[in-house]
Amino acid sequence: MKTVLYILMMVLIIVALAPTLWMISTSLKPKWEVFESQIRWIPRTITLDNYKRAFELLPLFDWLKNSAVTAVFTLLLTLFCDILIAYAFAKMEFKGKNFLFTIVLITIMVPIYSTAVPMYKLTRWMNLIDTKTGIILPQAAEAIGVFLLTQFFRSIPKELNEAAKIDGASQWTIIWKVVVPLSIPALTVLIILTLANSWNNFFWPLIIAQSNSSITLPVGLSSVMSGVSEGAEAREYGLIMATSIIASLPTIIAFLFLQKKFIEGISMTGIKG
Amino acid sequence: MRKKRLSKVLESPLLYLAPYFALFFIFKLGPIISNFFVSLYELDIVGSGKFVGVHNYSRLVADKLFWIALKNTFYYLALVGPINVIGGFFIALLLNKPLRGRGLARAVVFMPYIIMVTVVGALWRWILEGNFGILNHYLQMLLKIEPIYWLTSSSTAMLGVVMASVWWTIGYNTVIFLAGLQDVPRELMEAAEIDGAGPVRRLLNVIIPCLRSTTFFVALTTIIYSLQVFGQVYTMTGGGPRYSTLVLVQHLYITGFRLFKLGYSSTISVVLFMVIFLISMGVFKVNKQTLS
Repeated sequence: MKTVLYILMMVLIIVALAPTLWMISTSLKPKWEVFESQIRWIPRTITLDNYKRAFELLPLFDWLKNSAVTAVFTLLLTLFCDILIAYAFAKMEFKGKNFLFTIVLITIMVPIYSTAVPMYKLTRWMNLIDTKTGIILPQAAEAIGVFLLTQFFRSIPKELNEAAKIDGASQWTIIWKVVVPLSIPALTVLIILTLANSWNNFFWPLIIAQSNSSITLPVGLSSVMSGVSEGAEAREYGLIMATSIIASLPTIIAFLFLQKKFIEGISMTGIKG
Repeated sequence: MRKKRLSKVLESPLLYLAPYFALFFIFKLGPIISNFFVSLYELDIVGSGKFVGVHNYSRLVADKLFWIALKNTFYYLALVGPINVIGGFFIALLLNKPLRGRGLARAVVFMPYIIMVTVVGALWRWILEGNFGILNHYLQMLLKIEPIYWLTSSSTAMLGVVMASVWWTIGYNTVIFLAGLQDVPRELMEAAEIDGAGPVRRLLNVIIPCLRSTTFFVALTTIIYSLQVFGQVYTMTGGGPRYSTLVLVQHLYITGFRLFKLGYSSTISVVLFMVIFLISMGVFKVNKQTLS
């Protein structure tokens, strides 16, 4: 019985891992070896040529930079806004609190595709088409973080707040001096989720990013595959696999180190990217 | 005096609500609400459009591509839904057993989920390639069959998209199920074992009932996200060949942002929203009924 389970697990690991390994293997092959009828997992000649050519032929540095800038600013804005409002929802009393919180939560369920047209008109009107700001602002408006932090802040004992208040601290001070330091686990999860979601976001950037001043990696890669991008062919799988690896390396590395946090984030929010 | 005024401002909830709500109203709630109105207009990139009432909706009924897209979306759901929910469950069950190396297996199964969708599309386009793809290579070796042109023939293209999607997302469901399995009371399992219940009986009478709410959640999210499938289709097939993989979001994307029929595009998105809403309600209802 145990042996059967082990065999099943081995099969599972192989099937789940094989595509990624094949991506790595292809990316390390010279052009002529990519299209060989013989399957070789380990290339006869290992070369970084595809990576070099990816950087030469494609505006990869621009795409990388745009992806990184978008992710970082989305993160900063998200942290600032979400911490403040989550504190208000969790620790302050005001009229209409539950109503507002419910409204915010409901929007998590609404597909982004159901807002694309008004968002597009709005972004045009604000002159933010083809800008990184146009990508960042809607991403920071996502409600997942508000939900996650509010839940966590609620679990912080009231007494701590009150003790700080008696010492004469304002709410503002309490947030940054008391609540935030106590919320590092939840904040770590939020940081990882926000960065990964921004890095992987495809639909909205695809709509508004048009030039290399705002095209992010997912959009850039898709343009290579649809043959829109100059410099590389849609069938150059060696080069495309190399680009794919460059694009997913940051998330994969982060995952290897912070696996538990990723999984925690999934089970805490139940949100798909 | 001045200090007092400042401290009053610092106590007001408004200060803490304002930054997020500014973003929220402009980029979230506003667009969600106005989308319903936009669907009643004929709208281009410039200008504020012309009110046409339900014209866009009657146009939708006559739009052959819309019905194809609706059918394809449900076809995709019918394949991915059961595989991802049932498959995710059994993988979780397997990886919950005290096996050596299960931590590694869990990580490996979940890892594809963090990869961006365009990379998933690119990778699977290469795996499923007709002449040099690795899948055909192994199929030929093991089953001795002719190469299948997965993504370029209309009968198999959707299957290709489904394979990529399952690989990409099944780990998510596995993780949720694994979390649920941790909450199955130990005593209950032990009691069942003492009563002589075999593994199948324990599965049916203890584990599955305990995982009811988890299963409900997994099924619901799988349905909701399957109906919104887009990135895989966009990168792997672009909706082709011969519209065989055209799904709702792909259709609304092309209509809105390639052909720039914005009003009509938002009509499609309203219907997508309605479909998701109604099906979610249905799932909620089924869940409630089986509960009582």
